[in-house]
Amino acid sequence: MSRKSSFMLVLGLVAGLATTLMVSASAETPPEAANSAAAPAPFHPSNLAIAGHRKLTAEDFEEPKACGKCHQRQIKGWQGSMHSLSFKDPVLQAEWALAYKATDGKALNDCGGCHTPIGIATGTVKFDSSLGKHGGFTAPAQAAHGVSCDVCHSVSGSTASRSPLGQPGNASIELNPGETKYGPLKDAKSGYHETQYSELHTKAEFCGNCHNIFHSENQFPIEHTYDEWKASPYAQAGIPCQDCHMVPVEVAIQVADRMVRAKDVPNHGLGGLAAKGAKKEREIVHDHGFVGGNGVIAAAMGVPGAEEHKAEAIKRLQSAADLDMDVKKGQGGVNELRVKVTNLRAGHHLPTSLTFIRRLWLDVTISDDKGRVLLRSGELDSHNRVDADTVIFGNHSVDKKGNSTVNPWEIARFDELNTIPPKGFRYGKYAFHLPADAKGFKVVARLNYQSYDQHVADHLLGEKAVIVPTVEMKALTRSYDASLKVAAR
Amino acid sequence: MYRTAVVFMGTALALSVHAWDALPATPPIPADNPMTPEKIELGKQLFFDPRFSSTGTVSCNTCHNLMLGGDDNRPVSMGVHGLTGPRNAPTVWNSAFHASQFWDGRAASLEEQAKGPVVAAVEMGMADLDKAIGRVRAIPGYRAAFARVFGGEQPVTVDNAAKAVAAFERTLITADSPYDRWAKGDAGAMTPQQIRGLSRFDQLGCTGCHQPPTFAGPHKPRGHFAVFPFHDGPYVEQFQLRQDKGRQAVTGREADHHKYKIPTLRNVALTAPYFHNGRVETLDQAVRVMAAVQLNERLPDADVADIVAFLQALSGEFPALTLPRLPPMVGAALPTE
Repeated sequence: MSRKSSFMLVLGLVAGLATTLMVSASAETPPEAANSAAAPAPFHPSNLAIAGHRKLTAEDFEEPKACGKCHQRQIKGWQGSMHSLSFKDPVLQAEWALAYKATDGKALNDCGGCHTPIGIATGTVKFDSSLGKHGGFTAPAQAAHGVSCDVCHSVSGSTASRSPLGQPGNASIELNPGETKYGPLKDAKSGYHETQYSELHTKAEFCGNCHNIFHSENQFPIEHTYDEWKASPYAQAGIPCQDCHMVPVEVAIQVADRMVRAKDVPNHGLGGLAAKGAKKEREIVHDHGFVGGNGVIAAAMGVPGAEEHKAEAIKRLQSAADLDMDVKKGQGGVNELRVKVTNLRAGHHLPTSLTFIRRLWLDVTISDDKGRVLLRSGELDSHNRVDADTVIFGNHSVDKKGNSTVNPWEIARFDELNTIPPKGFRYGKYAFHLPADAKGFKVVARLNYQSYDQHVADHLLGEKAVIVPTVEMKALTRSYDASLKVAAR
Repeated sequence: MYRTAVVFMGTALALSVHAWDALPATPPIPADNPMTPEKIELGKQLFFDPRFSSTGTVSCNTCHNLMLGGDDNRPVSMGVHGLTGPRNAPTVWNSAFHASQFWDGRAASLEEQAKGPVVAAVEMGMADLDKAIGRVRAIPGYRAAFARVFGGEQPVTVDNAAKAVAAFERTLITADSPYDRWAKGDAGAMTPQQIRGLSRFDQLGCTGCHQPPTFAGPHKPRGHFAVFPFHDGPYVEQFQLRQDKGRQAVTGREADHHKYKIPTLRNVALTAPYFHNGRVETLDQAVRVMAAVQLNERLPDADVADIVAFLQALSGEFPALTLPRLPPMVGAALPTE
């Protein structure tokens, strides 16, 4: 699939933040009718809410370092994670600033509801036009930590049923900060804070509250990671997001290959204490790095934990997909190569989230036994981009008039869909001629990934401010003889 | 093929798990009780004046001895008529940094705290605050001082007396401990053993509750109360650590059972005996108890020694204090009860 690139790019909710919950309405949440016109969301257009409609200040929330004193394993993973950078990430800041200016400020809550729930809930986020290339935002320390410990663990309920579509997304969480911390353990005991079991924290819906993003006016699902999961074999097997993204990649691979819960992976080695001085050994203590495919930002910002996060992100990418290929005779003497890309281990599409900005593509070279290049596709040019004929897996976004755009606030629909569903596959197809004097040929196929298109980075951050790294997720080389049979190695 | 990203990115990440800050020179000052030299002096007089106890023998300084570590080194304090209360006197030094006062946090401010002991039967033993302030009002020098400090028609009030005492207490700061000097960059201010102890103290998780720079609980609106003791074990019985309901006695909440304000560890080496009931006599025993009942850790002797050495580095520089001259009764005896 080829795509024209647009110039105003930008993405909206960068790597996805995460979390939240949803349970069927907490005790504090009155059962209100969905779509109640009488009670608009307090931080519209985000679906964020505060339990008891309290007024909150930033000081109502703990800073991560306080939590990390006892929850040392958790903070180690969180530090340098995309959750920890969801507000500070310069890509997000620039994108959000553009959105803010283009929407007369409406995008403040729209993006901020997930990127800094504390900042939005406390009304402390301020736009500053002097920051960055396009402006940026400031917030008190607690809010600037993005999706921090006390965001997710203050989530007392979901507002999904009250959202415009009645689904998780756009920060459909209810925050209730204070003495009580909400989490997945039924018998948690802490000397420091009170604890409340939250079934929501054990479910994919919790993550879906931010990893599902709808346009706030036309309700188009701009990002639908949660919905992708919901329609996947993983959902059918009862494997939630947490079982892959809150465990080391080695365990996540086992989860995907066996299609079992993380706790059922033999010898997963994840048991231990959930906090310093805790009373009880737990079967699994979850990682809080929430590693996905973005190893760029933390490393670029040089934050603590960045290198570990980057290494883990690369491992994730390199274990997500598989390649295969076949060649057959086509019509009119043309040979047809099909490269099959299988989504082996992601519980959502490849790519997911900002499917119109991520770059997942095939780099294919066919050369004959004399060294002549017969076909070349997907090569990065001097601008760190691939050309329009490249096989790219992603979606193409357009505005309501059908014009290309990657600005989330302008997107009305996707006019081309080409992501790879969980356990599913797509083909890249190529045609080539074999010279009469060739005795054979070799195909080298690479599946490559960039977290975002270089044009987007340039637009948001300035020319060459960042060279978007390319991760080779998978490579396959195969030699054929002139009769298109696989040659012995 | 992973190309290194060349970048800049303007936003700095502030998070540091180990923020070893020095104690600020001044604590938070409430807007409705600004500090003035006259008010501080008046507060100092009231703090040292025993005449507002029923027997005329007990002042704030009796139990919160400023010539020492701001406490009385007794398991529990002794008030009028030799009566004793249930809890160990917390140090008054640096108490201005606390988000609440008393072991159970029942006073939200120093102003509120100051009114408590005056009418506690086992402390200063006055029947009520009106009687106490009546004694202040009867002393001409105090009437003049209150008028100068607070003005108004009737300046000698309980609230104003409490404000003056609180203002004085906000000057009771012990900065420049070896730890503070080390935190400000003087690498030699703490001994290698003290630095080892600090590192062990942090790594064990002690700083989860005893957070720098006050080494008390975090200054949060929600308060900073922790369950003590958290784990079972022989120490619980040996030192009768669960006899007291803690904060539950104030709030009535089951969740507050055995919860206490997390006390400051500044000058802790000077304030033995330890814990809410003062049953643990030495600092090294207190360290062992805390490790066991809060963190479920049995510490080797070497670790205990290192941590004790570090805790000694939290003993600060005490500001020079002159004893106040108290306004006299002028030919009248104290109406003792």
